[in-house]
Amino acid sequence: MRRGLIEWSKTELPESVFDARIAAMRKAMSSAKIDTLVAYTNFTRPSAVSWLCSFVPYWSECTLVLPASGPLTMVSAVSPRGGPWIESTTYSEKLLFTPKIAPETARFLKETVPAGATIGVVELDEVPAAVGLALKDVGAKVVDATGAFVDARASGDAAAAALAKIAAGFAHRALAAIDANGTDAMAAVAAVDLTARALGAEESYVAIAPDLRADRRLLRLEGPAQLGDAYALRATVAYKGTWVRMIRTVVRNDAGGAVRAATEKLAAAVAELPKLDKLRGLDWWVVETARVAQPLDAVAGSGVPQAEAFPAGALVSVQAAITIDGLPVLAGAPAMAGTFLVPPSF
Amino acid sequence: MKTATLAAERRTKLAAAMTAAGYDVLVAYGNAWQGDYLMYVSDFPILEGHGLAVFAADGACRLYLDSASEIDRATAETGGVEVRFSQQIGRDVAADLKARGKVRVAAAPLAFVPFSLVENAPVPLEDGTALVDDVLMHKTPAEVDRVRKAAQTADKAYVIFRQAAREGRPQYEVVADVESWLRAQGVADNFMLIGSGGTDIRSVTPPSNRKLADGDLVITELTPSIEGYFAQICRTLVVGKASDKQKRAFAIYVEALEAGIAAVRPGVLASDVARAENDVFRKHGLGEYVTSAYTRVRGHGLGLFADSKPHILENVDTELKPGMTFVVHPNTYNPDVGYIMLGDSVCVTATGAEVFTTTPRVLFDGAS
Repeated sequence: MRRGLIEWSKTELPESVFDARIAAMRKAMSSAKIDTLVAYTNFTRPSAVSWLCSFVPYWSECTLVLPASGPLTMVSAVSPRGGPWIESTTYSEKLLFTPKIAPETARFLKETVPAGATIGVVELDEVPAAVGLALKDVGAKVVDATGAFVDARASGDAAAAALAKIAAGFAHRALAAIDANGTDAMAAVAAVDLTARALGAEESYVAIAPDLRADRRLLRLEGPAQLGDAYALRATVAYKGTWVRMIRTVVRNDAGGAVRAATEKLAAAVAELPKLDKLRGLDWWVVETARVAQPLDAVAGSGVPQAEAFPAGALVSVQAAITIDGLPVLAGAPAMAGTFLVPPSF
Repeated sequence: MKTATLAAERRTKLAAAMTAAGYDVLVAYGNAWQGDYLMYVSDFPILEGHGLAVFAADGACRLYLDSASEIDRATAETGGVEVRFSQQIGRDVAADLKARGKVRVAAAPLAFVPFSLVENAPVPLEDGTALVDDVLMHKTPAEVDRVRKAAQTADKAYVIFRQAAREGRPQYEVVADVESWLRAQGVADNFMLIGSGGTDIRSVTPPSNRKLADGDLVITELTPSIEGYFAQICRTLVVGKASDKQKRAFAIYVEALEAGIAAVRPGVLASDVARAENDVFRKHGLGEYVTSAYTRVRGHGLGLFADSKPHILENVDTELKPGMTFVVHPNTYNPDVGYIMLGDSVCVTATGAEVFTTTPRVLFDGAS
């Protein structure tokens, strides 16, 4: 579940931001001949709905219905007792409560969608079977609206960029809180988690590779572990619906400057984005961005078979493993337009 | 650290249940909201994206994940599982099933698998939810032991919560203290909600920036996990000194919790436990406040999901059996003072209940 601070700040995300996004979405719907849009959300796939109306469910699931004109309606499986909380965090004009969102969403659409209309579903392939089957039963034409959604979101906006910069700052401060001379992996993870959450992060996931010489894979730590002489932590931080990742590698007695060298290589690769040539030369890498419902969706990477195009100015989080003098060094940071939002230097 | 023997024990138990039901393959779905089906099959506590585990009755398991950043973690944290990244997870699993030829396939929970899997599966997917629910609810001694240890952690974490819940602090800082303490103990996950205030608070939510004030009731359910198994404690404290009115109200919840736990034994139904709790409120003229307008459940299962079956409600007829673990919590709104939470994790034994949580059932306040 989400255990961080979820709030809608009308200073950081004024209603005009959502009005503009909804207008862009309606324009894309019109181009795709979609009359009504349906987007599904739970806290593991919140990004499409939060982009349209700020809402992030801490638990349970909801659908959001956006007609070509008329009110934005949310169908929520969160109990009606959660209504005031939803209203305080959401730009939505109408709220319907139900324990089962699939039949209630279908009922609502049957009542409101005109005959012969087309319903577009964001990530139709990925929505729960119960939702997909219920929508098929509405009687309207049901199509996948992922392309239309990606088109509407692609241009980005200043509000999202500002939130990403704040999230990147949180991630950097969290990773800076590590005692680089410490030996307790649990203490290192706790320091990152505490700092991110106390700053007001909506969520904080901390992953660690306690001994890079033995295994470079980043884990969610459970139980005690000792830090080796080279280790790495990754902070995944969300702030008001915007997610970023940053990595810090610590090498004790780094006389050869392995961490600096790796960071410089990553910076050089990031500077060329969306070209991927320099990243392709690295041991392991991944570029993630918020395209649709996943807040960090892999659009390219050494383990990603089908790369997705992303614009030059897209907000991305880039991670890589770079071998320097035989040591696998992990580096990563969020970036926009070829530049780190906050340099991953410590 | 998760132990391979526990994962192997679970897969053996599940394979036996599948064979008895005539299924060749089980497809288990999971995400970080409800990951228990996936975890039971694959031993992977998913955090990002969603996943499908294709589990054959012969014990072979293939795990499909749609988050690239989860792949390394899955390969490192699971054993005996083939991990695959997928950008079209439902379609890829449908193709996997097609390659297996003529097989009988169950999916759990069927309602949550990606729509594209249902649309493209080569055979109709049968609903295996009840089959998996049964193995999830009826725990082995090793599983019960994990829940017991998680409850011990919950007790300790509540001490941290009490220390953190000081006047003037925003709720999210209190939660940050608890979460980081859990990480410092090597606890990977925790389900936690919080509320603070008076009669204006009707439920718990994630932490807000509301500051704790003198006289506030501060309510929480705190649910850490050990090796993926969750246990819960629910308690209420008062910032400053508790009033007589708050103390009188709280006494009813103590009575209800004790009545609920006293009802737990093999052979009774989940509804019997709920009724025992609710009868106490009705006796005190508060029957209206045990309805869905004011509260959700009177407890719920605990295990690989923090809110699993059985739900303790007066209309749930699940029979209690030894090895079932759940929280008994008569949490609800009180019209005089606000929402009060009180709950303990228990296990059904051969003769009654073992109560795992040991934190005193008192209304903590500045004077406690």
